[in-house]
Amino acid sequence: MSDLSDARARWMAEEFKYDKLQKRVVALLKEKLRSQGLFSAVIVGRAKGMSNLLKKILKKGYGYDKVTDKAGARVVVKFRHEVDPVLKLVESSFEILTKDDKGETLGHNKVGYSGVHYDVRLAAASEEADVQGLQCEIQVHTLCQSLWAEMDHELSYKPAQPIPEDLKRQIYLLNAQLEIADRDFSVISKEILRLPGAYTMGLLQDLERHYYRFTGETFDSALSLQILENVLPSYPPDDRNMISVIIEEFVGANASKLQSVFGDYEKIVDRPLLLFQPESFVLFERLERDPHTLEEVWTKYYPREELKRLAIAWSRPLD
Amino acid sequence: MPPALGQLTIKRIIIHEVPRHLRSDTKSTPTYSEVESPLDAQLKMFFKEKVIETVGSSNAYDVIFDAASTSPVPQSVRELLSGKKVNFVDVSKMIAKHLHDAQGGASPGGLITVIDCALGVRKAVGILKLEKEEGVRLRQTTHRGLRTFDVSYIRDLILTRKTKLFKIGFFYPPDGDEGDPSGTVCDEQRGYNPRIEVASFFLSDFLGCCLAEDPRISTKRFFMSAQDFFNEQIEDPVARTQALMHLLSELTNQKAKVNLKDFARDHLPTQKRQSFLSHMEKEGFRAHTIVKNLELIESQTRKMALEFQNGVTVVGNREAFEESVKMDSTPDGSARVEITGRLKKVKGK
Repeated sequence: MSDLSDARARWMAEEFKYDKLQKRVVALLKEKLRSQGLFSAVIVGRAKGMSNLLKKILKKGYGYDKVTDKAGARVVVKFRHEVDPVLKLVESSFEILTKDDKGETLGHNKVGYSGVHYDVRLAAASEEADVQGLQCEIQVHTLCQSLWAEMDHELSYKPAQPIPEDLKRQIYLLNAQLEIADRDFSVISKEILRLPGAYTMGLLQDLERHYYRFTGETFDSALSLQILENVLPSYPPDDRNMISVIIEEFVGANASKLQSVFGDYEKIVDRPLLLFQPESFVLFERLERDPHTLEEVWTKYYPREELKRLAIAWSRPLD
Repeated sequence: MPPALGQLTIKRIIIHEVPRHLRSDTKSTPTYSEVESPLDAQLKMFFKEKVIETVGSSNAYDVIFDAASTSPVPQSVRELLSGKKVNFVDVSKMIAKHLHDAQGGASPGGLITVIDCALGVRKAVGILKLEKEEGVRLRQTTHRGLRTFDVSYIRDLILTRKTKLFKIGFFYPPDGDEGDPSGTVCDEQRGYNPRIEVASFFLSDFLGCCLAEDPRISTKRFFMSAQDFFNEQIEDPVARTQALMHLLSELTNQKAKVNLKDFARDHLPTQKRQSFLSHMEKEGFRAHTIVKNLELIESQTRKMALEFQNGVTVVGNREAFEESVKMDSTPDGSARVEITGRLKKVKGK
C-alpha cells in the first residue's frame, strides 16, 4: 500500500478520535480561560480534513505520523497583553511536546507572523483514555496577528504565479503596521482602565470572570455598569476599593450555591431579571451581608420587586 | 428558618378543595384529587420561590408538634418524612379531611396543597392553605385517567390575589435527623389584626403544633439580648437610650408579636441594623418573629435606668422619662441629662 493510501485508510479509522481530541482541547481551553477571566478570547478547533491531510503528506513528503496538526485548536485574544496569561495557562494545562514562538525566531530586525504554536497531549490524569496519547496543535495569537496571517495566506499563496518581490514587501510592511496597531491597542486598553469611572469597568471585568464560571449567557454590560455605579454606596466607604476581593472571597465560599442557583434558573423563562447579569454577585453578597443598606440604596433607583425576586432566588427573602 | 432553604427542590404537589360547610352538614366532603398535579419546571420554580419567600421571611416562626394535640397532621408529616414507602395521595387526603372536619361554618372554603419536597438530600413537606374568594370556582382535570387539580390554577390564584390568605407549615427533619421533625409556620394574616392569637386554628387545631419556644422565655431572651446589643454596640448615648425606649415601647404595645427585622429597620441607625440581626442570630433567634409574653419581665418593662460611669444612676417610669428627661451628647462622648420636675424628697443612701 502506498503512503497515501495507507494514510487515507488510517485517517478514516482515526479521524473521529482526533475530532474528539480537538473538542476536548477546546472545551478545556474555554473552561480554563474563562476561570482566569480571559473571556474575550475566541477559541476554535478542528480535525484536519482528509484532502488537506493527504495534500500535506504529498507536499512535504513525510509520513502520516509526522503530521502533528491532525487535531488543532486556535486561541485568538484581542490584546497583546493577554497572550502571556494564555501561554501560561496552556503550559500548565497540557503536556507540552514542542513550543514554537514565531516572534522569537524572527528576532528584532524582521517582521512576519509572530504567533506561538504548541504541540500538546492531554495531561496524564485526563479521563479521555482513547485520545490520551494523541497529539494536538494549539496556536495562540492576537487578533492583529490572526488578521495578518489570514491575509498573507490569501495573498501570497493563492495566486498561481509567484507574486513580485515589491508586492511581498508591501505585505510585510502591512505586517509591521499591524504590529504597531497591536501594541497601541494594548496600551490604549490599559489606559482606559485608568480613566475616571474605570473602577466600575474594572470591577465589571472581574465580575465577568466569575460570571462565566457559572453560565455562558450573554448580558447587558451597559446595565451592569449603571447598576454597579448605583449600588456601590451600599458598601462601607473603607470597603469600596476592595469589592473585587470581597466578591472573590464570596464566590469562593458560595460556589456550590451559585452553581445551583444559576443551574436551577437556566431553563426558566420567568426568572429574576438581574440574575443573569454579572452584578448579581455583588447583589447576592450584599443580600447576605447587609440587605438593609442595599435595599435602601437600591430603591432610590430601581423597583423593589426586582431586588425581591433576586433575594428569593438567593433564598434570603426581603420582607 | 429551616437550614439550607436554598437547596429546596419541589418534587410532587397535590391539591384538595375543602368547601365551606356547617358542622351539622354531614354530607359535605372535600373534593379530592386522586393523583398528584402535573408539574413542569416553571411551576416547580414558582412554588419553590413561594415557599422560600414565606418560610424564609421574618414573619415565619419556629414550631414543634404539640404532644397534647389530637390533629392527625403530625403523624402524617412524620410518615412523609420517614423515607418509608407511603401513599402520598392517601396521606394528603387525610390532611384535607382533617381540615374539613375541624373547621366550622365560619371558616371560608379553601384549598389544601401538600408539597413533597427536599432540602438538599433531606426530605421536607410543605402544607399550604389558601382561602380563596367566594365564587371562585375550581375545575378538576384528569391526569393519567385520574382526577386532579391543575396546579397552575393555584399559581394564578396567588398571583392575582384572588386568595385572601396564604398560610404554610413547612416541616423537615431536625438537626442530627433524630427526634420529631422541626417546623416553620408563616401566616400572611399576621399584622392585619394586632390582637390575633398565634395559637390559631391553623397552627394548633389544624397542624397540631405549638411554638418551639415558650413565648415567656423567648420574650425575656429577646429583651436581654437587645439590651446587651445596645450597651455593647451603640456608642452614642442618645441613640442608645432611644433604642431602649423603642424596645420598651415595642414590647408593651398591643401587637402580639415583635418582628426583629421591622424593629431594626424602624428603630436602629442604618449601619447598626445588620449587626443587630447578626447578634440576634448568634443569640439563637433563628426565626425573626417573637410572640410576646411579658410575664417574666413585667416589672423591667415598666421602668428604665441610666447608669453612668461616675456612679450616678437615674431610674424612672418609662412614661416619666419620655416626658421629663432630656438627653444630649457632648463632643467628648459624654451624656448630659436634664430632668425637669418638682423635687419630692431627698435622702441619704
